[in-house]
Amino acid sequence: MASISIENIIKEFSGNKVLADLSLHIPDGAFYTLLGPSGCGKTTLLRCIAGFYETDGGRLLFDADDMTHVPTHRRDIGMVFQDYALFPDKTVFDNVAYGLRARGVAKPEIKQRVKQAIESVGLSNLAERYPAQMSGGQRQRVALARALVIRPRVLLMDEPLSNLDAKMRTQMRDVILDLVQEAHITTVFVTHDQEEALAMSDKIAIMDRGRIAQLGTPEDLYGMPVNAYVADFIGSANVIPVPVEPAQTPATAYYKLSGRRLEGVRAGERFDADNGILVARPEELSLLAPDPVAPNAVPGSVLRRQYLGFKTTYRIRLQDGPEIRVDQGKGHQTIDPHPGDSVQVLFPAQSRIISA
Amino acid sequence: MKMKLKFLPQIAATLMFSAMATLASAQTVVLYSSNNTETIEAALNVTKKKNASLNVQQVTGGTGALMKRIQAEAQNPRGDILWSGGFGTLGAYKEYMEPYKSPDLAAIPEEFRGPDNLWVGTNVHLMVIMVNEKQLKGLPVPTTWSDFMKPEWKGKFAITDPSKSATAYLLVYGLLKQFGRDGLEKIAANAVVTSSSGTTYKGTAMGEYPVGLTIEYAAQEYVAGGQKEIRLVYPGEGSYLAPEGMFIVKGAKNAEAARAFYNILLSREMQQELLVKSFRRPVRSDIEVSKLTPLPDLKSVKIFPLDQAAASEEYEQLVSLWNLAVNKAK
Amino acid sequence: MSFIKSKWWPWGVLTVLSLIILGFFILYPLGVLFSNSVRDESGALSLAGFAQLLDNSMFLQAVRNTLVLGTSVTVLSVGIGVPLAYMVARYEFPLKNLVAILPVVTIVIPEVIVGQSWLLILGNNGLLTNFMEQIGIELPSFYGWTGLIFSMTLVYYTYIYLGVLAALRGFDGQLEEAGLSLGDPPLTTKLRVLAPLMLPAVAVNALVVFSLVVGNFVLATLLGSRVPLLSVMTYNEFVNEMGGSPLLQSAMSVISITIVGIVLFLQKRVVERKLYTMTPGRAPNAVRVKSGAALMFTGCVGFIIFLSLLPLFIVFVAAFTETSGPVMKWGVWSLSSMTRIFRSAPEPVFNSLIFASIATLIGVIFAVLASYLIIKKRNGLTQTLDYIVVLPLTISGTVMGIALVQTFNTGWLVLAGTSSIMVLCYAVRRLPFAVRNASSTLFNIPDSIEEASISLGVSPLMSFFKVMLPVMKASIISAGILMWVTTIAELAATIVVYTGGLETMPIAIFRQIDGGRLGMASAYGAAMITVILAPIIISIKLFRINLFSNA
Repeated sequence: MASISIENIIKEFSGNKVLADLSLHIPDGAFYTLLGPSGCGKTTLLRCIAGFYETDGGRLLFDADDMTHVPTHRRDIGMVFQDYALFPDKTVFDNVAYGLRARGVAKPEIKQRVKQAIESVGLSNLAERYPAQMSGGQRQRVALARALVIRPRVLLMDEPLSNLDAKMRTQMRDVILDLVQEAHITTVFVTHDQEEALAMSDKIAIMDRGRIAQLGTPEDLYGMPVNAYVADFIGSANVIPVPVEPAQTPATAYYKLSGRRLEGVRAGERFDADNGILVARPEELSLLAPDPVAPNAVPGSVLRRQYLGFKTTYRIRLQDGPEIRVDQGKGHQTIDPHPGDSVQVLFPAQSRIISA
Repeated sequence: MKMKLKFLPQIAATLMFSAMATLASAQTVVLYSSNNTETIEAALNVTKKKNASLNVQQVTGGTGALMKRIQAEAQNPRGDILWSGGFGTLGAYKEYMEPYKSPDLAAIPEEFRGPDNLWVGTNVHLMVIMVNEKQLKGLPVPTTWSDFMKPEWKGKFAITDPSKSATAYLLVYGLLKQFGRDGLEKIAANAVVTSSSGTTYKGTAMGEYPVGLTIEYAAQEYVAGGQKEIRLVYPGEGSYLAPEGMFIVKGAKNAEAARAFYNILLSREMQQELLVKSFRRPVRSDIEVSKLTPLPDLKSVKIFPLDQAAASEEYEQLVSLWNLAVNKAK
Repeated sequence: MSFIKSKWWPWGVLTVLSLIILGFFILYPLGVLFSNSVRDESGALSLAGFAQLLDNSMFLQAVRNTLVLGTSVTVLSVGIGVPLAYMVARYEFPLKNLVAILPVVTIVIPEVIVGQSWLLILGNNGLLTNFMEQIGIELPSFYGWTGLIFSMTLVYYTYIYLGVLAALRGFDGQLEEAGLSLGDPPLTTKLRVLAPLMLPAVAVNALVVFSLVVGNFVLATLLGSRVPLLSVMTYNEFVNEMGGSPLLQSAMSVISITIVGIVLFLQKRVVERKLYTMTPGRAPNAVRVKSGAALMFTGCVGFIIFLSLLPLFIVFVAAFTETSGPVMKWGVWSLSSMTRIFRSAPEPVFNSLIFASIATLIGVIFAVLASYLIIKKRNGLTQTLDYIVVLPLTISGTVMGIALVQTFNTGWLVLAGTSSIMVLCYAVRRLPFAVRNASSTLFNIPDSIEEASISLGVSPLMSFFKVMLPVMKASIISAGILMWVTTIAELAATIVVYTGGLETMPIAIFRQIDGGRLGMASAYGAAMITVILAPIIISIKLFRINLFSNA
């Protein structure tokens, strides 16, 4: 119930800049995800917001309140940890009541709010259990209830689903989203799982070496990655360096691949280079017979074919060019070549060219 | 729950001490004693008979350790009386003593009284030759100190390092005075040097050394215990006396009780009891040792006289002389 | 307020405070000791002390003897510990479960009891000695090398055994199988594959044993009357009735610290180079051995356990045996020694209980705080704290005692002669064990629990009390019991610092043995063992606490 403003935050560990001049604004009630591989700084940023790390520069605001130097326990946050971090010597009820007791809430109210919180995560009958007697999914529900029952200004979640098995993970996504939406609480969610990020977030900040590589809605990031790093991280993409002709229109780009001249769309911010990068997602490409020569298509030969049921994936060696991947969805197959066969790969005219 | 359990002993001990303190309010005396448990026990039994209202709290430790404590507590003495230490050691701590002239002093020969009534002798040790006959293995029973200068005794007898024990100090001092530096060096060259009086007499009793030059009472305890192979020899050239004394601590909190206890410790009854129970040879001239114990009367033993005060003055000199002699023999 | 405050309060402040306290009670005394060793009476810098020692043939012999003793005991301990560990790790045989009590035995039976009881059995007037004498066999004197090596080996082999057992259990049996599959005969495989991998574990623990032997005072002084040893010599220099030389005491202490320092340096080298190159894996299952061999295995293990436990029984037997002065009347039972210690001289019992309780309380509180700072608030300062806390491990009790008494007998804080110095000795000497105990638990508690509490609005300091302490409860109790049990038995440092009236049970035992009263010594010994065993049994039976899981 507060916006979060991160302004030029710097965090160093023994001289090493883990967060380099990073800024981000998260509006009130939004669900933002920090996404990136390990070491990108996402957890560090979350811990700076939580106050577990003292920053080395910049400001942090909740609404208009400067929180930069406020210690964690006075920031009024709710936090959910990867390992659940339940107090092992306390029952579910006492775990959830912990934050309320610290706030000096009256006993009857504690009882009522805790009961409601436990109910909201579907654990009403387990209130007297100890953490050791519960499954991972149940524990994370308790952790969620414990973080939300205090009605914090922001909710911070540090890879909360990564210790769960695949099925429980998808189930918990819904549990979290339901609770967060109902509470209308500003949420920062850290994960390295792109699917989780795409499924849950209002906006995703993809982080790379202490900076935000791209901030956008899941659709933006998937459809319009600003660079190869983002493109490669969200979904999978064929990333091919290509020479680009000087711009003729602001939107269209002509580029060369395997000796053929192809048409694509310019994306990203800079257009000054002769060298661009073609970003083509495997499922956007299609395969054609080697003859006749088709427009916007490039010849190549099939190296490997894998049948996966709902789709078939091919590894193709482009003529005088790199290896790429092509996915043909079930029912959208034009041809079904086998290793050794010659083919043409059709690059749609909407293929994105970004600056190198 | 557990934490509470852990403190039970402490609580019990605290209660016990406070109980002792309440009891003590009437007539308490704090005794600093280096004597062994049995001897203290015997002394306290006599005390109870002679003065039931006297409550003696004991603090035990080696003489040196207790002296250091008295020194440390000089500003605020917690002990009232020390019983007992060798005259040499006592002489080094004169400033911590309260003079007292006991009515019983008349029965104590002049030589067993401290200067200015600072202390008084309680008992007197005789330095003797303790022989374990089983371990002699063909050696003749030694009869004189000078026997130990002979080469056949090399490594066969134990003597305590004079810097580790007051009685051993007097023994070595006596040997020096009687046989000169040459004699002492010869003995040192042959001796096994132990680091405590206990090691010497225990080692002899247990057969580690065929002979130990040690204190009469300690040797006699093994005889009394039934170890038939142990024999005491009073050397023909004369034995050495090592008197022990007690004193009232300067500024003692319970001076009056301390004096009462002092007199009891000096009494004939007490000295007899300690002689019978622990073979502590009395300083009083009115007790006949040979009637009460198998030990000979002092007057029938040949004594080589030593000046106790002079002995302690020559401490550093003697110890370094001894160390030199021992090192030379290596 | 907040910047400085949030950064330094509370942990920074507490770290600095802990450092000051430890510095004052550990580093400062050692500094005094070192500086005393190079100062003559006028206070000028001088190496006279060392020169005097190097000139003293007795001293050189003592150093030589100490090294020889250390080597012999280490070799023998390896000789017993390694095969024992191998038998236990790899084979199944009747009564094997008995070995589980071995670690308990090491902790529970104080060295002074071990020395004393072997004197009762094999001393010149001992049970077995007398018996053999009656049938015409004369046993060699137990005083000196025989007794020293025998009893120290029995005390220290468990260190090798436990260390090697842990390594064997963590050893990947597949490596051995790999050797076999490559065509090596089994014995060659063991020598080629197993031995080099086990060697670091053996070496590390062997060096620990070596340093313990070098620092050992209790057994050395009880049994080594004719063998000059460094620790005993240092002590003797100190207890000189008419006052020893601080210069020589300090110089000797410094030399013994140096020896142990070199050994520990070697050990650290071995640990760092070798130990963690071994990949943990699945240990092979124990093999059940056939009847003949089983009998032999059970016999060997049983015999070793029997020898380790014998002191317990002997002490109780002797405590209830009639005595006449110094002479034990074996076979005649009597309560007189027991009643005598409780009626006439209970002071050591109470002293022990009081000092140990206070030291344990202080030690556990400090250990929890220190290990929390060391494990959970890692930084340069807490790293230093870590080093200082374990420092007393490398310093023998006698030396620590001398350092403390030399430091606190003058100046503005005079502790010498008061019960405080006894408590201080206990606390300083046993703190490393308590810290280790608490650290191993803390290490397994995730940081997130505490962060969760803070995020829920509880201050860091209160989070420590509300969350960390309850989670650590079991390990705090076990650390407390272990500390209490080991402080009760402490002798080497307290024998140096005690003055009249501060006698504890081990000191009383020591003095009674010195005065030739084995009966009385045994009575104190029986009381001491009871006091040691009671909390252990209570905690295991009543509270089901596994005391020795991370000891």
